[in-house]
Amino acid sequence: MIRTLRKVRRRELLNTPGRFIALFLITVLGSGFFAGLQSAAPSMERTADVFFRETGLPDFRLYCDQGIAIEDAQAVRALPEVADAVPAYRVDVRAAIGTASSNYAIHSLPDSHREADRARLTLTQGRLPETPDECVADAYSHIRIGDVIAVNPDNAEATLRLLSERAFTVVGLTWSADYISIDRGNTNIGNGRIANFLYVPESAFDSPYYTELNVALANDAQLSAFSDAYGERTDEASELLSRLVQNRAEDRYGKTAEEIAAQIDAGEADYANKRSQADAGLSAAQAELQESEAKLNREEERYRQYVSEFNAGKETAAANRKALEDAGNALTASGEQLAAGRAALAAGRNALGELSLQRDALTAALASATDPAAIAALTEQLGALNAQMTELSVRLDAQEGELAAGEQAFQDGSARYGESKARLESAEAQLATKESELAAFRAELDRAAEALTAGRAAYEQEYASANEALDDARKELDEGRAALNDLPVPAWTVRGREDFPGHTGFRSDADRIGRMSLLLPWFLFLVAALVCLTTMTRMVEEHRTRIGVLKALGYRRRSIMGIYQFYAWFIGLFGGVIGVSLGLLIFPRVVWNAYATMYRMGEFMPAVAPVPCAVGLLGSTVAISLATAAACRRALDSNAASLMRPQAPKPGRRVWPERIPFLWRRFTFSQKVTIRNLFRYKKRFFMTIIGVAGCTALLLTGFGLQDSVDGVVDLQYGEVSHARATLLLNHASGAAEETPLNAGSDGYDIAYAHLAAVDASAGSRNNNGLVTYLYVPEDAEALNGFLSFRERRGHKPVLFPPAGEAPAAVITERLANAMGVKAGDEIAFSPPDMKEVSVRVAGVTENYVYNYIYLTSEAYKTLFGIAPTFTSVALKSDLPEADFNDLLAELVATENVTSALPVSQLREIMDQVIANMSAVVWLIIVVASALALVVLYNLVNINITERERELATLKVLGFYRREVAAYIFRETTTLTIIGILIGLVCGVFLHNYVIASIEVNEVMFARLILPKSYGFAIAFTLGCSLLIGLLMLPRLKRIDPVGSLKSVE
Amino acid sequence: MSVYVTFDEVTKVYRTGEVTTAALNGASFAVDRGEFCVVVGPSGAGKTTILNILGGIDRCSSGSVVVDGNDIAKMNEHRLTVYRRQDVGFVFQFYNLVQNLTALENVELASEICDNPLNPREVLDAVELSHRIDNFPAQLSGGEQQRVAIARAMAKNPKLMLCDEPTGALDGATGVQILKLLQKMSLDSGMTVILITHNTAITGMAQKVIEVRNGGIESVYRNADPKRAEEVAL
Ligand SMILES: Nc1ncnc2c1ncn2[C@@H]1O[C@H](COP(=O)(O)OP(=O)(O)OP(=O)(O)O)[C@@H](O)[C@H]1O
Ligand SMILES: [Mg+2]
Repeated sequence: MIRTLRKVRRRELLNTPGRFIALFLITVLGSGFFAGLQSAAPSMERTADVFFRETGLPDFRLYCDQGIAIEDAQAVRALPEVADAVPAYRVDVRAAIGTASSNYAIHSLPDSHREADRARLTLTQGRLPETPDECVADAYSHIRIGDVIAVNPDNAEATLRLLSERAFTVVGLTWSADYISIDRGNTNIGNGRIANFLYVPESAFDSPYYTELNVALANDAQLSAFSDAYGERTDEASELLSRLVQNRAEDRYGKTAEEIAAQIDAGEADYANKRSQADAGLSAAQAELQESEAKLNREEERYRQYVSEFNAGKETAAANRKALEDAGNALTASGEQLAAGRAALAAGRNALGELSLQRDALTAALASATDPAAIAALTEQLGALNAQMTELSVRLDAQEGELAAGEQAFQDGSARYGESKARLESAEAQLATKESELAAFRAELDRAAEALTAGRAAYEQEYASANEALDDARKELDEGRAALNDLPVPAWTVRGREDFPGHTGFRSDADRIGRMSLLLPWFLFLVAALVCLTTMTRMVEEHRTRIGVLKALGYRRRSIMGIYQFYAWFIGLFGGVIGVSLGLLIFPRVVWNAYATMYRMGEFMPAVAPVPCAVGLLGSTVAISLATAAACRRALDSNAASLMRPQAPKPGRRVWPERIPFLWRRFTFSQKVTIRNLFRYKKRFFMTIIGVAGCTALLLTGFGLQDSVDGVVDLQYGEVSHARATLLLNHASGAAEETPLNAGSDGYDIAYAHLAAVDASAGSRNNNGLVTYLYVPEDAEALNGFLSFRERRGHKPVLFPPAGEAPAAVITERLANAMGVKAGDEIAFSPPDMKEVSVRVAGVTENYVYNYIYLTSEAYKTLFGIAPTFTSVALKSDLPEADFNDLLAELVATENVTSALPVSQLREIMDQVIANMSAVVWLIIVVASALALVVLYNLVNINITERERELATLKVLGFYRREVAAYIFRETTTLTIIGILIGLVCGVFLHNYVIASIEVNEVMFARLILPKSYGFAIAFTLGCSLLIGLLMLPRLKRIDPVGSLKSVE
Repeated sequence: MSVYVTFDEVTKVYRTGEVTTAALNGASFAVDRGEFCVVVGPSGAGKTTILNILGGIDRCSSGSVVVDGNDIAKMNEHRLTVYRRQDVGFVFQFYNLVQNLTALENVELASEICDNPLNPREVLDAVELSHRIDNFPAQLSGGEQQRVAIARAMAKNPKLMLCDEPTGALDGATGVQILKLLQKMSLDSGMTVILITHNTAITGMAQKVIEVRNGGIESVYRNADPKRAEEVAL
């Protein structure tokens, strides 16, 4: 009995290969897709986790705004939960190779951890640095070994102080476990983005305080970094670390505060001391000054007395002089009188002499005179003369006596005069000495006065300076006190891996894949279950009679059920094992490869996700088994006799389209038949429609994915952005300033802008790790030629608010979606080193690569209160490629231009992404086609076997082969077309969903499906339908009317 | 009367694995045009085999089957289909109606494909089913279904009508009704009717009776005065 059943069982597997293959394939597909796709995300996570562990990725990075002391590291290390705490330096600088400067993150390689460093870094070329002036540089860059990277002198003072070197020679290129993705993270310098990283020996840093502390937790349990347990443990550890660093911060604060307070106290004492000293010294000086002043006043008094005495003397002398002079004058006058008297006397004498001569002459004449008359005349004359002479002589004598008396008086007067003169002269001489004495006195007094003034000034000055010094000291002390009052507590930041560059992105990518792999396989699973159910139902129906016979023969229910359950389990397990194995082999790797360009994490490590595998394996088995049980139960519940009677064929029924006569009448006869049949077999109807719709939706998604990714490049660089390159400038420039970029003349056109990476948020939602830039064109009008601001749907232009209105920003679509905002809502963002500002959204613009917040420069000024610096230049040109490249090279060589990024280079990166996406696309297409093939095959197979009798009848009636085929395939085709239509609709949604799931951070994929993709999806599905038709034609041909119509079985 | 069907030394061998069964071994007979012919014989004699070969839905292993001057044994698949389509009407023991079509549609199914069909409604009227034309097979009784099957065969206006135990599943009265219909057709339109039965009572209404036994023709005889169908007691 058992042997017979076994034989039946075996025959069942072998005799109906079509059914077997259909069930097997759908099981393989369902379980493979399920287990494979759901293992993709765990595989990504495992790969990452293994990489993290092998490279010793820290679990936390601690930062302290006042630097991290070695003691801090020791304190953290002392925690039992902590395996290691390694302090390190990292500083972000502007540095240049030649003239091309950009932002670098410089990390230290602790010399004592060379082994760990080796694990952390994967050298692609060269060696690790050995001297402080050497470095290894980012392998994902244009840096070459031998390049010298010079730190720009215009970096912040504190930044420069940290480094002992100013230039580093590249000795090796490396990947770093600190950077798992090509995203190097944000910074607060330059344009806000780190371009490349460098690793230098620790000795290249010069500071007792480290900038970061890498903390690795003890992980004895080897927890996966993506497990919930890890999350819990890090949450706990994070709290623990926060508490510890809080304590350390308070300690440090306490110590510093104490030090400062002690300093202040000492200063205070010193101050008081100085103050009293200064006061004493000053009052002594003041007393002295007062004394000298009094003395000076006394002397002054004395001087004044002397002066008045002198003046009196001088007056007397002057009076005397005057008298003397009068006397002298009188003397001179009397002298002159005397002289005149003498002269008159002498003249008298002379006249006497002459008279005498005359007398002589008369005498002589008398003597000689003979004429008495003459003698008488002469005698008379002589007598007269004698009288005259006597008179004259008397007069003369009197005169002479008078004169002699005058002379005597004169001589007396002269003597007296001489005497007074001598007296006067001595008095005058005395006065002269007195005068010079007085002058000396005066001079002395003046000197004393001067000395006093000087003394006073000196005093004043000393007083002032002493006061000033003291005031300074006071101020310093007050400041010290104030500083003590608001002495900052050191601020520590504990950052988990989610804050490490690239980690959030990776996590969300893995999550997205996980999310996507939740939906798609279920869908396939549903179809598979339907396929199984219809197939097994059909199988049991075909076996009615046999079941009836077995039942009649006394086989137990369980044994009969066993035949079919064996079949079900055999296919379920066999197909499941093959499916799960293939799925695990193919899907995770294809998905990983799609992300490989974005992430850098060592060897791919496939993970076997136990739940999906078990579900994939057992789920399909259980599904078939349940379908079998359901199908068998009805048969087994009927009694043997009714089973052995031919089964009443599924009765025909009117269907609802018949109730619309004007419609129904239009159908041809065969169309009516088809419509009735469609409604007759509901299970099959849904299986096929869902299957075909699924296939079409998947295909549309697949092809659409290609369009979306392909489209991005064309849309972004064809329709949205018209710039051909972006230049970055060393220092701000603008149209107003002198610039080497003489636009317009050399076949290119430029637009200046301010560009900075920002963090943005709206309410509780942030930009979700999206790379976001603030873009402020110098001239929003002029920018229009470089960027098209328009809505994606309908291409309605997006405008900045007119000047004068409240500032508002235009933001890009992906950013808007991530934050859930639309025009009119508020967003907040903060550029590096700037306060956070809030601004209204003026519009949402189409954009695919990166995310932007656009502001006019007026709005920027209004918001931040300062003018933006225009260091980014968009460049437009119609030059042929070669000339354009020459132009760029030329521009980069100019002093102010630090770098030039041609759009063609971005396109290259994008093309890489697309190439990787293609693998996913083809995977979807293959799976979808396989699904369609299996479902359609199964449908046609069941249709043919179930309706063999009907088909045989048609054959007997003389239907041509193509008519018979059409009779069956019209149904399939109709179902296919309905399925396709539904599938197209679902496909649009699925496409959107998948796109949103797999979108990478930098790029928004176009929500775009080209008409040709609709065409492809339809053609592929119809193609599958056709292929199945062709495959099934021989089956139709083989239908033997004789056999089919003989009886019922 | 001209000969319409000629079976000449027809053999049919079924081969299933090692076992070979000879369903027919050298059957020869002839049927005239317009003749009402009944094939009788015990179960397993080869009656159905003969009819299938004649109807062009099975092929003989050797021998020739000439219908209206054409050897259908030598026809290719397509010509055989054309032959079935234009010349043959087939009525089965188990009706074999298309369940999803109404009575009328089942008839139309046949009439649509041949060159000079009869009006389906008229044919259904002829089998007295005009009041049930919009019913599905499941809504009809066995006899009614069989009449639809006959109507379907008739609507093609075939030259050769083949019926494999059309009354097998029916009660006597219904069976007579069916037989009456067939006889009427044969008489009215000169259609050649070949009818299988293992009910010898029917032989009375045949113009020619062919007795089959063990894959061979045991005897062929004509009824000088065939009975009318109503006279047959089933
Ligand atoms: N497909 C087949 N394979 C093997 N043998 C067959 C096949 N069809 C018929 N036979 C054999 O051929 C012989 C004739 O069968 P056929 O169906 O013609 O008999 P029949 O006279 O119609 O019998 P019944 O009155 O029971 O219907 C039988 O012995 C049968 O076993
Ligand atoms: Mg038979």
